[in-house]
Amino acid sequence: MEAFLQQLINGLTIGSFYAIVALGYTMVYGVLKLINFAHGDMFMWGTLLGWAILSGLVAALAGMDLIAILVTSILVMGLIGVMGVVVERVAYRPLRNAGRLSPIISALGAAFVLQAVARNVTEARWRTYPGALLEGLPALQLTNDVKISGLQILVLVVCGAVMVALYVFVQRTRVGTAMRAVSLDHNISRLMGINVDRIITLVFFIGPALGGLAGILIGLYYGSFDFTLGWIFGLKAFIAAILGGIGNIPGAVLGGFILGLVEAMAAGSGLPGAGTWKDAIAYILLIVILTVRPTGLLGETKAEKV
Amino acid sequence: MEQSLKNIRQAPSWLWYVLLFAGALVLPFMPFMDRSTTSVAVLASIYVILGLSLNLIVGYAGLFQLGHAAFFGLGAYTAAILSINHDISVLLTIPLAALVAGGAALVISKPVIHLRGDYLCIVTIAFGEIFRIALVNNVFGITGGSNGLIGTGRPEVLLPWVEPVPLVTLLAIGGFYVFASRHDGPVARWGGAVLIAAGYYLPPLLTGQPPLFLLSIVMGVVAVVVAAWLRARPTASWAEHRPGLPVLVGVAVVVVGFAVVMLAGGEGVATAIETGIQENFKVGDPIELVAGLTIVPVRFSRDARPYYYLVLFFIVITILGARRLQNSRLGRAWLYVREDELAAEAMGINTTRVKLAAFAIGSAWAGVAGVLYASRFTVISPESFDFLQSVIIFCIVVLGGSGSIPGVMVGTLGMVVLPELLRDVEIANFNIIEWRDGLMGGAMVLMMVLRPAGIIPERRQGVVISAVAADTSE
Repeated sequence: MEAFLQQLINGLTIGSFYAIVALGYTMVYGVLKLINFAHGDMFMWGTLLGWAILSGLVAALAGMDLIAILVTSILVMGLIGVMGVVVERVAYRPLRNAGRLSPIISALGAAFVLQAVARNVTEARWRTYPGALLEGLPALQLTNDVKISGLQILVLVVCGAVMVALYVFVQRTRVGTAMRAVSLDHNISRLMGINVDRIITLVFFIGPALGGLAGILIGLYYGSFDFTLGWIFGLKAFIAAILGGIGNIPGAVLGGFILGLVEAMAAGSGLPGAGTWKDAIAYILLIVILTVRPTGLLGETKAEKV
Repeated sequence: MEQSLKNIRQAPSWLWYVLLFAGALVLPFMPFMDRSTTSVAVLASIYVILGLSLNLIVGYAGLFQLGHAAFFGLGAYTAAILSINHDISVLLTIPLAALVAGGAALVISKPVIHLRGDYLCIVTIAFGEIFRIALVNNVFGITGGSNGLIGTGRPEVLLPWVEPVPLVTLLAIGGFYVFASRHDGPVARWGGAVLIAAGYYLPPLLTGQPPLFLLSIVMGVVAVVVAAWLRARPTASWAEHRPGLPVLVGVAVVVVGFAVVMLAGGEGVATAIETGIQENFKVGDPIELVAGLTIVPVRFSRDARPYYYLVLFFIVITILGARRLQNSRLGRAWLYVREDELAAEAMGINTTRVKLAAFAIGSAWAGVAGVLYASRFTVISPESFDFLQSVIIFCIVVLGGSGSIPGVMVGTLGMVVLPELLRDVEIANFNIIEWRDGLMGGAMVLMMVLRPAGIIPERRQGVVISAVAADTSE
């Protein structure tokens, strides 16, 4: 029971990461019907930039841990948001009306470019986040064997707040409503007076910015990273988005948590080889969901107009 | 108003192919080719086969397949396992590898084939990753984990070595020729082809130079292909009215050719062939069969040139097969499914079956390429079959020209040959090989923005309608 609880907590934490990154995927897919393969590498750049800034800051400001992380997070979110906008301008906007194949290849290309630059910057070595951070964070000891570490509390709180904020933003504000309109139909949105290009730019700012935030938290949680972090993690986050229903914001959150929990449970279940097959779980889940319920758990079956 | 239809003038494509083939044949003997560049040529040729196999799926049928390297790996591992554990000659594993790869493709794609493009893309990536994870985790204990499998056997070929043959056989061949040239139809077509091939075997027998028999085999294969193609052309009316003519032409060319060779020094050619074989291959002990026919098993060594010709042979088969498929019922069905799936379904094409066929055939052929890869490199590991490989093959097809065979070749030149040749080159302190992925990614983005159809787009039959002068007298 205790192991189960601990894995539950771990699963929720990892699930929050998947959820935040999946939000970026699902928002972009919602407005552009495009799989943004570069999103995973963008959040990896968040981890990278966070590491670069924190390594520099920690030397300068010892003892200002939470504030340092806060400042870095905001800075990195802004930078990665700009990166997202630039990628959209260069790689996606010219292909707005170009069918289904070209944007996918362009997205893959952008992903490779980002990854290659990261590889050369990190010199293909694993990089570690400064260990001195977060030592003073209080942990919550539930029972003898079950503990929620301070970092996990931070992650759960921050991610929860972000998800709620995004949901409120999309549902209750005018801009959010415009986003939902653009995801339904571009041309009608234009007729309604919505500047579709600006909304898409905004989506490409918010999504990657959230990814950047997740990147820093992932860097803090796992302690170290390398330039391939974006690819596998991003793919799994995208699978989580599909799980919940692509284009659907609560769906992305749900999918992220489900994936995180299933992975944590499988890894901790003690089945033979469970550790090494952990990565395959996401892929198997994907195939199952696409076979059984292709629109995802919270997606609606929309009749396709012929 | 008069209108005229005019066929778009197209250069004869077979001329290009013949020129290309001739160039490919002599490539290993060019002065700028040394050991390493021939090795690169072999690798590029394997990628050409891979690209052609993916061309069936992505180019003809329009499906997204980003996990192709998995089937490549399936074929390679099948060949390796059969060769290492069960001591089966590597070339004999080709049918089995094709079956395994094609069968796996059928089984895997059946539940997901109806998915729309983007989703199919993600699912194929997932399949590729599952395959790679299975390899690394040594599933069923046969894949060797992340170290891979070492010691795949090299290709072994059985060469016939013939002593002069009795007169009865010659008479039988002559009679068959007379019989075959009198009739039309498959008997005459194939019989005539066999005759031409048989014609190639006469001179070595008559002159008593057994090694020339090998030359005969090579020329005989070419002759069979040419003769069958000549007979199959429906528009060649002279072939229809004179069924025996191609056969006659073929045999005449053979006799003249061999006469030239013999006059120029047949014995020298024979000894050259024999020493060439001894140098480049590992020759085994001759095995005696019936009536003076002996077989010599000859095994490839590490030299790249025999591999080059072996893979070239497979490329020729692949291109011929791909062209025939493209112009067949299945190929046209693929075209319609690619252009408008709903309309194709409405016209009565079973889209599921057609798409599954594309997957199965393309993947089976990737399995064959895998066997060639395993037999060339003899050490295979999971890193050669990961997502990056799938993307490279995908880019070869799409950036080179989706659906076009010359496009695949240009794509291979750009994606495989160029990086290998520039391996050690440095530009302004940037080592090209370190930035290879980034440059590839940049090329992908650029190509999609500037030229989405690929470098050499698929060439379709076209007709130009031009309006001639308006008719004033109504």
